[in-house]
Amino acid sequence: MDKFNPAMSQGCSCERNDDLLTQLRQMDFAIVEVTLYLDVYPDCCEAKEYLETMRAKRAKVAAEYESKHGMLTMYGVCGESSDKCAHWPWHYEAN
Amino acid sequence: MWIYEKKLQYPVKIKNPNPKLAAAMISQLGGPDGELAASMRYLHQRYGMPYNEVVGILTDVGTEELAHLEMIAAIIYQLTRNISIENIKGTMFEPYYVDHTTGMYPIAASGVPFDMKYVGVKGDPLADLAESQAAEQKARVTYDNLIRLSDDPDVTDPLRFLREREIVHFQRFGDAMRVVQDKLDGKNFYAFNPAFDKKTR
Repeated sequence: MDKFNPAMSQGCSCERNDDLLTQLRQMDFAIVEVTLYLDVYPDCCEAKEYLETMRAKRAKVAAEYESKHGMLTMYGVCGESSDKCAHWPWHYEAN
Repeated sequence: MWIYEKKLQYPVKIKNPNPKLAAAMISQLGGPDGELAASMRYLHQRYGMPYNEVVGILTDVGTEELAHLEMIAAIIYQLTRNISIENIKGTMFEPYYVDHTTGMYPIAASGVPFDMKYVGVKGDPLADLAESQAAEQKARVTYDNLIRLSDDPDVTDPLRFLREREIVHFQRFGDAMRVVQDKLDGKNFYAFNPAFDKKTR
């Protein structure tokens, strides 16, 4: 009974963590922050400009990420990632 | 509608399983001031909110809370992966294990399953925003407590990120509160409910 191990690790060992994911997270964080700000200060031109710049940068990085690791959303770019290799976001290997 | 994005908002990468710590972390999943309660509160407060700016912030913060819910689940998932029954026996995780094995069930650290009684939706902009501001502070205190309990830097790091988000959300709800009060000050000195008493809008 002491060998009972209900939580076997899943998926293969190929890790998704790379610079692209870090960059994408950083840009998404910036976009979330400035969006929350613009919700309550909708007339701030500086924030609007920043949001547009970050959105353009984010689109580039997201496309590159998706072509390498597979779709982020159901509307994403079809990439190399196969089901065999897929990690869900809560897996150690995905972060 | 909502669109699922297949990544965490902030990385969760925990090297060492620790069921005892998981039993504490579970409160931010299904506890009174957890992320499930937060998302349910803000997303449902939107319908009674007569001001566009405030509906916007409730939508965006409520959505971010769903991302935090998945981060907390990732923390618990990784703290309980590859554990044996010997790792569980005699720890705080034991009662949870009896009922849910290592499945993900929204429950408070004290053992009470998630309850919508934690969430206030009054249908009045002042009352609901005051509730939301208080909720952010209560969640921040819970993260303070969890950070004190955590002896693993891999766990403390995402907790610090989540704690910081509570502070920013409190700030934004404070801004939203000013938006509501500015609108009330004009013709509604006595704070009649602008979500219900139509003539005061």
